[in-house]
Amino acid sequence: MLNVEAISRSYGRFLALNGLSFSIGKGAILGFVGPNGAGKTTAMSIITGLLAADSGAVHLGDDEVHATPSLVKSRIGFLPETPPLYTAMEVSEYLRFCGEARGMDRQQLGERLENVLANTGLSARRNMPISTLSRGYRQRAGLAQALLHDPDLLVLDEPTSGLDPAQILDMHELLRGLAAQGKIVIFSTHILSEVEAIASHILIINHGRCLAFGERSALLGADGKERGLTDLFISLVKKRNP
Amino acid sequence: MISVLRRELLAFFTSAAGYVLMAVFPVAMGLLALFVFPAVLERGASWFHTKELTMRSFFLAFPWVAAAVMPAIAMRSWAEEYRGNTFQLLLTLPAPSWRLVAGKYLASVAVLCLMLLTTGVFPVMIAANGGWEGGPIFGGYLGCLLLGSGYLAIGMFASSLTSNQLGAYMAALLACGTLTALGSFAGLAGSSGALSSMVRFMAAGDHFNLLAAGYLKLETVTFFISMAAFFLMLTALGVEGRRYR
Repeated sequence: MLNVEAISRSYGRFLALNGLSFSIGKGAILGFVGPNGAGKTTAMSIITGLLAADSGAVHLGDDEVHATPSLVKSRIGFLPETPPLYTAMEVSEYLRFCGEARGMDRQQLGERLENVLANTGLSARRNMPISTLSRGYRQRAGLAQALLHDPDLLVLDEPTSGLDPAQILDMHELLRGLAAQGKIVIFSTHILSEVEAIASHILIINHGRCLAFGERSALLGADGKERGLTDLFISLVKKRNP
Repeated sequence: MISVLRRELLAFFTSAAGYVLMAVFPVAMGLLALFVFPAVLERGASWFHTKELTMRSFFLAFPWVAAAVMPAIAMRSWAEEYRGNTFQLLLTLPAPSWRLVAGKYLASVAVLCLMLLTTGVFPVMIAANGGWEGGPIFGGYLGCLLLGSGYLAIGMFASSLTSNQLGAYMAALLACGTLTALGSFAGLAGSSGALSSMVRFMAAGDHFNLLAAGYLKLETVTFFISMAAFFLMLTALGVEGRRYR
Protein backbone atom coordinates (compact mmCIF):
# COMPACT_ATOMS: atom_id res chain seq x y z
CA MET A 1 0.00 0.00 0.00
CA LEU A 2 1.29 3.47 -0.89
CA ASN A 3 -0.05 6.35 1.20
CA VAL A 4 0.77 9.89 0.16
CA GLU A 5 -0.37 12.22 2.90
CA ALA A 6 -0.72 15.96 2.26
CA ILE A 7 2.70 16.51 0.69
CA SER A 8 3.65 20.08 -0.12
CA ARG A 9 6.75 21.52 -1.70
CA SER A 10 7.83 25.03 -2.68
CA TYR A 11 10.73 26.26 -4.81
CA GLY A 12 11.37 29.68 -3.36
CA ARG A 13 8.01 31.45 -3.59
CA PHE A 14 6.60 29.03 -6.15
CA LEU A 15 4.30 26.47 -4.56
CA ALA A 16 4.82 23.39 -6.74
CA LEU A 17 2.82 20.94 -4.68
CA ASN A 18 0.02 21.84 -2.31
CA GLY A 19 -1.18 19.15 0.09
CA LEU A 20 -1.37 16.26 -2.38
CA SER A 21 -2.86 13.09 -0.89
CA PHE A 22 -3.82 9.71 -2.32
CA SER A 23 -3.58 6.01 -1.53
CA ILE A 24 -3.23 3.02 -3.81
CA GLY A 25 -2.83 -0.67 -3.14
CA LYS A 26 -0.87 -3.55 -4.60
CA GLY A 27 -1.50 -4.32 -8.24
CA ALA A 28 -2.68 -0.80 -9.07
CA ILE A 29 -1.49 1.19 -12.06
CA LEU A 30 -1.85 4.90 -11.38
CA GLY A 31 -1.90 7.25 -14.38
CA PHE A 32 -0.65 10.62 -13.23
CA VAL A 33 -1.80 13.45 -15.50
CA GLY A 34 -1.70 17.22 -15.44
CA PRO A 35 -0.62 20.17 -17.56
CA ASN A 36 3.06 21.13 -17.78
CA GLY A 37 4.26 22.50 -14.44
CA ALA A 38 1.34 20.92 -12.57
CA GLY A 39 3.65 19.27 -10.04
CA LYS A 40 3.83 15.71 -11.39
CA THR A 41 7.62 15.44 -11.44
CA THR A 42 7.90 17.09 -8.01
CA ALA A 43 5.37 14.64 -6.56
CA MET A 44 7.17 11.67 -8.11
CA SER A 45 10.52 12.89 -6.85
CA ILE A 46 9.14 13.17 -3.31
CA ILE A 47 7.53 9.72 -3.48
CA THR A 48 10.86 8.18 -4.51
CA GLY A 49 12.83 10.02 -1.82
CA LEU A 50 14.77 12.02 -4.37
CA LEU A 51 13.38 15.28 -3.05
CA ALA A 52 12.33 16.24 0.46
CA ALA A 53 8.79 17.52 1.04
CA ASP A 54 8.25 20.73 3.02
CA SER A 55 5.42 18.94 4.82
CA GLY A 56 3.44 15.75 4.61
CA ALA A 57 4.53 12.13 4.50
CA VAL A 58 4.85 9.21 2.11
CA HIS A 59 4.41 5.66 3.45
CA LEU A 60 5.19 2.52 1.51
CA GLY A 61 3.61 -0.13 3.68
CA ASP A 62 4.62 0.74 7.23
CA ASP A 63 7.78 2.59 6.25
CA GLU A 64 8.01 6.34 5.75
CA VAL A 65 10.13 7.22 2.71
CA HIS A 66 12.07 10.07 4.30
CA ALA A 67 12.36 8.59 7.81
CA THR A 68 13.85 5.28 6.62
CA PRO A 69 15.23 6.22 3.21
CA SER A 70 17.65 3.34 2.68
CA LEU A 71 15.02 0.75 3.56
CA VAL A 72 12.32 2.28 1.38
CA LYS A 73 14.58 3.12 -1.56
CA SER A 74 15.50 -0.54 -1.87
CA ARG A 75 11.79 -1.16 -2.58
CA ILE A 76 11.33 1.61 -5.14
CA GLY A 77 12.31 1.71 -8.79
CA PHE A 78 12.39 5.13 -10.48
CA LEU A 79 12.70 6.14 -14.09
CA PRO A 80 13.05 9.94 -14.31
CA GLU A 81 11.92 11.85 -17.38
CA THR A 82 15.51 11.77 -18.71
CA PRO A 83 16.91 8.29 -18.05
CA PRO A 84 19.91 8.48 -15.68
CA LEU A 85 22.49 6.68 -17.81
CA TYR A 86 26.28 6.49 -17.79
CA THR A 87 26.58 6.61 -21.56
CA ALA A 88 30.20 5.43 -21.70
CA MET A 89 29.19 2.11 -20.14
CA GLU A 90 27.80 -0.91 -21.94
CA VAL A 91 24.18 -1.80 -21.11
CA SER A 92 24.97 -4.87 -19.00
CA GLU A 93 27.90 -3.11 -17.33
CA TYR A 94 25.60 -0.23 -16.37
CA LEU A 95 22.96 -2.57 -14.99
CA ARG A 96 25.59 -4.50 -13.04
CA PHE A 97 26.73 -1.23 -11.47
CA CYS A 98 23.13 -0.35 -10.54
CA GLY A 99 22.57 -3.79 -9.01
CA GLU A 100 25.83 -3.79 -7.04
CA ALA A 101 25.19 -0.26 -5.80
CA ARG A 102 21.82 -1.50 -4.55
CA GLY A 103 23.55 -4.27 -2.64
CA MET A 104 22.35 -7.19 -4.78
CA ASP A 105 24.47 -10.33 -4.49
CA ARG A 106 26.15 -11.85 -7.53
CA GLN A 107 23.67 -14.69 -8.06
CA GLN A 108 20.59 -12.56 -7.56
CA LEU A 109 22.03 -9.91 -9.86
CA GLY A 110 22.85 -12.44 -12.56
CA GLU A 111 19.30 -13.80 -12.55
CA ARG A 112 17.60 -10.42 -12.42
CA LEU A 113 19.88 -9.04 -15.12
CA GLU A 114 18.80 -11.73 -17.60
CA ASN A 115 15.18 -11.20 -16.60
CA VAL A 116 15.11 -7.42 -17.10
CA LEU A 117 17.19 -7.56 -20.28
CA ALA A 118 14.60 -9.96 -21.72
CA ASN A 119 11.62 -7.99 -20.39
CA THR A 120 12.85 -4.70 -21.78
CA GLY A 121 14.00 -6.14 -25.12
CA LEU A 122 17.64 -5.30 -24.50
CA SER A 123 19.16 -8.78 -24.63
CA ALA A 124 20.59 -8.29 -28.11
CA ARG A 125 22.09 -4.95 -27.13
CA ARG A 126 23.54 -5.92 -23.77
CA ASN A 127 27.15 -5.40 -24.91
CA MET A 128 26.57 -2.14 -26.72
CA PRO A 129 27.77 1.15 -25.23
CA ILE A 130 24.75 3.17 -24.12
CA SER A 131 26.03 6.15 -26.12
CA THR A 132 25.34 4.21 -29.34
CA LEU A 133 21.71 3.37 -28.46
CA SER A 134 18.70 5.13 -29.95
CA ARG A 135 16.45 7.20 -27.68
CA GLY A 136 13.96 4.37 -27.39
CA TYR A 137 16.59 1.89 -26.30
CA ARG A 138 18.05 4.37 -23.84
CA GLN A 139 14.57 4.65 -22.35
CA ARG A 140 14.51 0.86 -22.06
CA ALA A 141 17.91 0.85 -20.35
CA GLY A 142 16.57 3.41 -17.87
CA LEU A 143 13.53 1.24 -17.27
CA ALA A 144 15.74 -1.83 -16.84
CA GLN A 145 17.66 -0.14 -13.99
CA ALA A 146 14.35 0.74 -12.32
CA LEU A 147 13.17 -2.89 -12.55
CA LEU A 148 16.46 -4.59 -11.73
CA HIS A 149 16.05 -4.91 -7.97
CA ASP A 150 12.46 -6.15 -8.31
CA PRO A 151 10.89 -3.16 -6.50
CA ASP A 152 7.43 -3.14 -4.90
CA LEU A 153 6.77 0.37 -6.22
CA LEU A 154 7.68 1.51 -9.70
CA VAL A 155 7.57 5.24 -10.45
CA LEU A 156 7.94 6.18 -14.11
CA ASP A 157 8.07 9.77 -15.34
CA GLU A 158 6.83 9.72 -18.95
CA PRO A 159 8.09 6.19 -19.64
CA THR A 160 6.85 6.02 -23.24
CA SER A 161 8.54 9.25 -24.28
CA GLY A 162 10.70 8.53 -27.33
CA LEU A 163 9.29 5.06 -27.95
CA ASP A 164 7.76 4.00 -31.27
CA PRO A 165 4.15 2.66 -31.33
CA ALA A 166 5.24 -0.98 -31.11
CA GLN A 167 7.54 -0.20 -28.21
CA ILE A 168 4.72 1.71 -26.47
CA LEU A 169 2.48 -1.36 -26.71
CA ASP A 170 5.33 -3.50 -25.32
CA MET A 171 5.71 -1.05 -22.44
CA HIS A 172 1.97 -1.24 -21.70
CA GLU A 173 2.16 -5.02 -21.61
CA LEU A 174 5.16 -4.87 -19.33
CA LEU A 175 3.41 -2.50 -16.89
CA ARG A 176 0.27 -4.66 -16.87
CA GLY A 177 2.44 -7.70 -16.16
CA LEU A 178 4.19 -5.95 -13.27
CA ALA A 179 0.86 -4.90 -11.77
CA ALA A 180 -0.38 -8.48 -12.13
CA GLN A 181 2.60 -9.52 -9.98
CA GLY A 182 1.27 -7.25 -7.22
CA LYS A 183 3.54 -4.28 -7.79
CA ILE A 184 2.33 -0.70 -7.57
CA VAL A 185 3.00 1.23 -10.77
CA ILE A 186 2.79 5.02 -11.03
CA PHE A 187 3.42 6.65 -14.38
CA SER A 188 3.01 10.17 -15.68
CA THR A 189 2.17 11.00 -19.26
CA HIS A 190 0.64 13.66 -21.48
CA ILE A 191 -0.98 10.97 -23.62
CA LEU A 192 -4.41 10.60 -22.08
CA SER A 193 -5.37 7.62 -24.25
CA GLU A 194 -2.43 5.79 -22.70
CA VAL A 195 -3.88 6.34 -19.23
CA GLU A 196 -7.29 5.16 -20.41
CA ALA A 197 -5.68 2.07 -21.90
CA ILE A 198 -3.71 0.77 -18.94
CA ALA A 199 -4.34 2.71 -15.71
CA SER A 200 -6.53 1.20 -13.01
CA HIS A 201 -6.49 4.52 -11.13
CA ILE A 202 -6.22 8.11 -12.35
CA LEU A 203 -4.88 11.20 -10.61
CA ILE A 204 -5.30 14.60 -12.22
CA ILE A 205 -3.35 17.50 -10.73
CA ASN A 206 -2.93 21.15 -11.56
CA HIS A 207 -1.08 23.91 -9.69
CA GLY A 208 0.12 21.25 -7.23
CA ARG A 209 -3.43 20.33 -6.15
CA CYS A 210 -5.35 17.14 -6.72
CA LEU A 211 -8.30 17.82 -9.04
CA ALA A 212 -9.51 14.25 -9.27
CA PHE A 213 -8.42 10.87 -8.00
CA GLY A 214 -10.03 7.49 -8.10
CA GLU A 215 -10.49 4.26 -9.97
CA ARG A 216 -10.67 4.73 -13.71
CA SER A 217 -14.15 3.25 -13.97
CA ALA A 218 -15.47 5.47 -11.17
CA LEU A 219 -13.89 8.67 -12.51
CA LEU A 220 -14.80 8.28 -16.13
CA GLY A 221 -18.35 7.32 -15.32
CA ALA A 222 -18.78 9.73 -12.45
CA ASP A 223 -21.47 11.92 -14.02
CA GLY A 224 -23.69 9.00 -14.81
CA LYS A 225 -22.66 8.48 -18.43
CA GLU A 226 -19.42 7.23 -19.89
CA ARG A 227 -17.06 10.00 -20.89
CA GLY A 228 -13.48 10.17 -22.05
CA LEU A 229 -10.53 11.21 -19.93
CA THR A 230 -9.83 14.09 -22.31
CA ASP A 231 -13.26 15.63 -21.57
CA LEU A 232 -12.79 15.16 -17.84
CA PHE A 233 -9.28 16.57 -17.92
CA ILE A 234 -10.26 19.63 -19.97
CA SER A 235 -13.30 20.35 -17.81
CA LEU A 236 -11.37 20.09 -14.55
CA VAL A 237 -8.31 22.05 -15.69
CA LYS A 238 -10.43 24.80 -17.30
CA LYS A 239 -12.69 25.06 -14.25
CA ARG A 240 -9.67 25.74 -12.04
CA ASN A 241 -7.82 27.73 -14.67
CA PRO A 242 -10.43 29.69 -16.67
CA MET B 1 30.56 2.30 -1.82
CA ILE B 2 32.78 -0.26 -3.56
CA SER B 3 30.57 -0.21 -6.66
CA VAL B 4 30.76 3.59 -6.81
CA LEU B 5 34.55 3.41 -6.35
CA ARG B 6 34.84 0.87 -9.19
CA ARG B 7 32.64 2.92 -11.50
CA GLU B 8 34.69 6.05 -10.84
CA LEU B 9 37.94 4.25 -11.61
CA LEU B 10 36.41 2.77 -14.74
CA ALA B 11 35.22 6.22 -15.84
CA PHE B 12 38.70 7.66 -15.23
CA PHE B 13 40.55 4.94 -17.11
CA THR B 14 38.12 4.76 -20.02
CA SER B 15 38.73 8.41 -20.80
CA ALA B 16 41.73 9.65 -22.76
CA ALA B 17 42.16 12.39 -20.17
CA GLY B 18 42.95 9.79 -17.50
CA TYR B 19 45.79 8.28 -19.50
CA VAL B 20 47.10 11.69 -20.56
CA LEU B 21 47.23 12.74 -16.92
CA MET B 22 49.02 9.52 -15.95
CA ALA B 23 51.61 10.06 -18.70
CA VAL B 24 52.09 13.79 -18.27
CA PHE B 25 52.33 13.80 -14.48
CA PRO B 26 55.70 12.01 -14.03
CA VAL B 27 57.20 13.88 -17.01
CA ALA B 28 56.06 17.23 -15.68
CA MET B 29 57.25 16.38 -12.17
CA GLY B 30 60.60 15.28 -13.59
CA LEU B 31 61.08 18.47 -15.58
CA LEU B 32 60.08 20.64 -12.65
CA ALA B 33 62.29 18.73 -10.22
CA LEU B 34 65.33 18.52 -12.50
CA PHE B 35 65.31 21.94 -14.14
CA VAL B 36 62.74 24.47 -12.93
CA PHE B 37 62.86 24.29 -9.12
CA PRO B 38 66.67 23.86 -8.85
CA ALA B 39 67.03 26.84 -11.18
CA VAL B 40 64.82 28.93 -8.89
CA LEU B 41 66.55 27.72 -5.73
CA GLU B 42 70.14 27.68 -6.98
CA ARG B 43 69.97 30.68 -9.33
CA GLY B 44 70.06 29.08 -12.77
CA ALA B 45 71.52 25.67 -12.05
CA SER B 46 69.78 22.43 -12.95
CA TRP B 47 69.49 19.48 -10.56
CA PHE B 48 72.56 17.93 -12.23
CA HIS B 49 74.70 20.93 -11.22
CA THR B 50 73.58 21.02 -7.59
CA LYS B 51 75.56 17.84 -6.82
CA GLU B 52 72.74 16.97 -4.43
CA LEU B 53 71.49 13.37 -4.65
CA THR B 54 68.13 14.13 -3.02
CA MET B 55 64.48 14.54 -3.98
CA ARG B 56 64.29 17.97 -2.38
CA SER B 57 63.34 19.78 -5.58
CA PHE B 58 60.77 17.09 -6.43
CA PHE B 59 59.03 17.58 -3.11
CA LEU B 60 59.28 21.36 -3.38
CA ALA B 61 57.47 21.17 -6.72
CA PHE B 62 54.77 18.74 -5.60
CA PRO B 63 52.45 21.09 -3.61
CA TRP B 64 52.22 23.46 -6.60
CA VAL B 65 51.60 20.65 -9.02
CA ALA B 66 49.05 19.11 -6.64
CA ALA B 67 47.23 22.45 -6.36
CA ALA B 68 46.75 22.38 -10.13
CA VAL B 69 46.26 18.65 -10.74
CA MET B 70 44.12 17.44 -7.81
CA PRO B 71 41.23 19.83 -8.66
CA ALA B 72 41.40 18.49 -12.23
CA ILE B 73 40.96 14.92 -10.98
CA ALA B 74 38.12 15.87 -8.64
CA MET B 75 36.26 18.41 -10.79
CA ARG B 76 34.09 15.90 -12.63
CA SER B 77 33.14 13.84 -9.56
CA TRP B 78 29.81 15.54 -8.85
CA ALA B 79 29.54 18.20 -11.56
CA GLU B 80 29.31 15.50 -14.21
CA GLU B 81 26.60 13.65 -12.27
CA TYR B 82 24.54 16.85 -12.04
CA ARG B 83 24.98 17.63 -15.73
CA GLY B 84 24.36 14.10 -16.97
CA ASN B 85 21.25 13.57 -14.84
CA THR B 86 22.84 10.50 -13.20
CA PHE B 87 22.71 12.28 -9.85
CA GLN B 88 19.05 11.20 -9.69
CA LEU B 89 20.19 7.60 -9.95
CA LEU B 90 22.65 8.05 -7.09
CA LEU B 91 20.03 9.68 -4.88
CA THR B 92 17.61 6.80 -5.39
CA LEU B 93 20.20 4.24 -4.30
CA PRO B 94 19.57 2.80 -0.83
CA ALA B 95 22.80 4.28 0.49
CA PRO B 96 23.41 7.40 2.58
CA SER B 97 25.15 10.31 0.88
CA TRP B 98 28.36 9.85 2.87
CA ARG B 99 28.89 6.41 1.33
CA LEU B 100 28.55 7.82 -2.16
CA VAL B 101 31.01 10.58 -1.26
CA ALA B 102 33.40 8.03 0.27
CA GLY B 103 33.25 5.84 -2.84
CA LYS B 104 34.07 8.70 -5.15
CA TYR B 105 36.76 10.04 -2.85
CA LEU B 106 38.54 6.72 -2.41
CA ALA B 107 38.58 6.31 -6.20
CA SER B 108 40.29 9.67 -6.59
CA VAL B 109 42.79 8.78 -3.84
CA ALA B 110 43.51 5.53 -5.71
CA VAL B 111 44.26 7.60 -8.82
CA LEU B 112 46.60 9.78 -6.75
CA CYS B 113 48.41 6.67 -5.48
CA LEU B 114 48.87 5.43 -9.04
CA MET B 115 50.19 8.83 -10.09
CA LEU B 116 52.71 8.77 -7.24
CA LEU B 117 53.72 5.25 -8.25
CA THR B 118 54.60 6.53 -11.73
CA THR B 119 57.23 8.76 -10.10
CA GLY B 120 58.86 5.74 -8.42
CA VAL B 121 61.68 5.90 -10.93
CA PHE B 122 63.11 8.99 -9.19
CA PRO B 123 63.90 7.42 -5.79
CA VAL B 124 65.14 4.30 -7.59
CA MET B 125 67.56 6.43 -9.63
CA ILE B 126 68.74 8.22 -6.52
CA ALA B 127 69.19 4.98 -4.58
CA ALA B 128 71.11 3.45 -7.52
CA ASN B 129 73.53 6.36 -7.31
CA GLY B 130 74.00 5.99 -3.59
CA GLY B 131 71.89 8.95 -2.47
CA TRP B 132 69.16 7.07 -0.60
CA GLU B 133 67.79 8.93 2.42
CA GLY B 134 64.88 6.93 3.79
CA GLY B 135 63.40 9.55 6.14
CA PRO B 136 62.91 12.44 3.72
CA ILE B 137 61.83 10.17 0.87
CA PHE B 138 59.25 8.22 2.90
CA GLY B 139 58.17 11.44 4.64
CA GLY B 140 57.94 13.21 1.31
CA TYR B 141 55.80 10.54 -0.29
CA LEU B 142 53.58 10.39 2.80
CA GLY B 143 53.27 14.16 2.50
CA CYS B 144 52.36 13.82 -1.20
CA LEU B 145 49.63 11.34 -0.28
CA LEU B 146 48.27 13.45 2.59
CA LEU B 147 48.45 16.80 0.82
CA GLY B 148 47.06 15.32 -2.41
CA SER B 149 44.21 13.67 -0.50
CA GLY B 150 43.39 16.96 1.23
CA TYR B 151 43.35 18.82 -2.08
CA LEU B 152 41.20 16.09 -3.64
CA ALA B 153 38.65 16.62 -0.85
CA ILE B 154 38.65 20.36 -1.60
CA GLY B 155 38.20 19.61 -5.31
CA MET B 156 35.36 17.24 -4.56
CA PHE B 157 33.62 19.81 -2.41
CA ALA B 158 33.94 22.42 -5.17
CA SER B 159 32.54 19.90 -7.65
CA SER B 160 29.55 19.24 -5.39
CA LEU B 161 28.57 22.90 -5.58
CA THR B 162 28.06 23.21 -9.32
CA SER B 163 27.35 21.38 -12.56
CA ASN B 164 30.07 23.43 -14.24
CA GLN B 165 33.33 21.46 -14.20
CA LEU B 166 35.46 24.44 -15.17
CA GLY B 167 33.90 26.52 -12.40
CA ALA B 168 34.58 23.73 -9.90
CA TYR B 169 38.18 23.47 -11.12
CA MET B 170 38.84 27.21 -10.84
CA ALA B 171 37.35 27.41 -7.32
CA ALA B 172 39.40 24.44 -6.11
CA LEU B 173 42.54 25.72 -7.85
CA LEU B 174 42.17 29.03 -6.05
CA ALA B 175 41.64 27.35 -2.67
CA CYS B 176 44.51 24.84 -3.07
CA GLY B 177 46.84 27.46 -4.54
CA THR B 178 46.12 29.74 -1.59
CA LEU B 179 46.80 26.99 0.95
CA THR B 180 50.07 26.16 -0.82
CA ALA B 181 51.23 29.76 -1.00
CA LEU B 182 50.02 30.78 2.45
CA GLY B 183 53.32 29.97 4.13
CA SER B 184 55.17 32.35 1.81
CA PHE B 185 52.92 35.20 2.89
CA ALA B 186 52.81 34.36 6.59
CA GLY B 187 55.26 37.19 7.25
CA LEU B 188 52.68 39.73 6.07
CA ALA B 189 50.39 38.67 8.90
CA GLY B 190 53.06 39.56 11.44
CA SER B 191 55.18 37.31 13.60
CA SER B 192 52.72 36.95 16.46
CA GLY B 193 49.02 37.22 17.16
CA ALA B 194 45.94 35.24 16.23
CA LEU B 195 46.06 36.11 12.52
CA SER B 196 49.66 35.04 12.19
CA SER B 197 48.99 31.78 14.05
CA MET B 198 45.99 31.12 11.87
CA VAL B 199 47.91 31.75 8.64
CA ARG B 200 50.78 29.50 9.76
CA PHE B 201 48.35 26.78 10.82
CA MET B 202 46.56 26.87 7.47
CA ALA B 203 49.76 26.86 5.39
CA ALA B 204 49.46 23.40 3.84
CA GLY B 205 52.70 23.88 1.92
CA ASP B 206 54.63 24.42 5.16
CA HIS B 207 53.09 21.32 6.79
CA PHE B 208 54.08 19.38 3.69
CA ASN B 209 57.64 20.70 3.76
CA LEU B 210 58.06 19.39 7.31
CA LEU B 211 57.13 15.89 6.19
CA ALA B 212 59.36 16.17 3.13
CA ALA B 213 62.24 17.08 5.41
CA GLY B 214 61.68 13.81 7.27
CA TYR B 215 59.90 15.24 10.33
CA LEU B 216 56.89 13.05 10.97
CA LYS B 217 54.74 15.05 13.40
CA LEU B 218 51.32 14.04 14.63
CA GLU B 219 50.15 17.64 14.27
CA THR B 220 51.05 17.66 10.58
CA VAL B 221 49.34 14.34 9.83
CA THR B 222 46.29 15.44 11.82
CA PHE B 223 46.16 18.70 9.87
CA PHE B 224 45.85 16.94 6.50
CA ILE B 225 43.43 14.27 7.74
CA SER B 226 41.24 16.95 9.37
CA MET B 227 41.30 19.01 6.18
CA ALA B 228 40.16 16.04 4.10
CA ALA B 229 37.50 15.02 6.64
CA PHE B 230 36.17 18.58 6.89
CA PHE B 231 35.72 19.03 3.14
CA LEU B 232 34.30 15.52 2.69
CA MET B 233 31.75 16.26 5.40
CA LEU B 234 30.81 19.50 3.62
CA THR B 235 30.52 17.55 0.37
CA ALA B 236 28.18 14.97 1.95
CA LEU B 237 26.08 17.77 3.44
CA GLY B 238 25.99 19.57 0.09
CA VAL B 239 24.96 16.42 -1.77
CA GLU B 240 22.28 15.62 0.80
CA GLY B 241 21.20 19.27 0.75
CA ARG B 242 20.32 19.00 -2.94
CA ARG B 243 17.22 17.06 -1.90
CA TYR B 244 16.02 20.21 -0.15
CA ARG B 245 16.71 22.72 -2.95
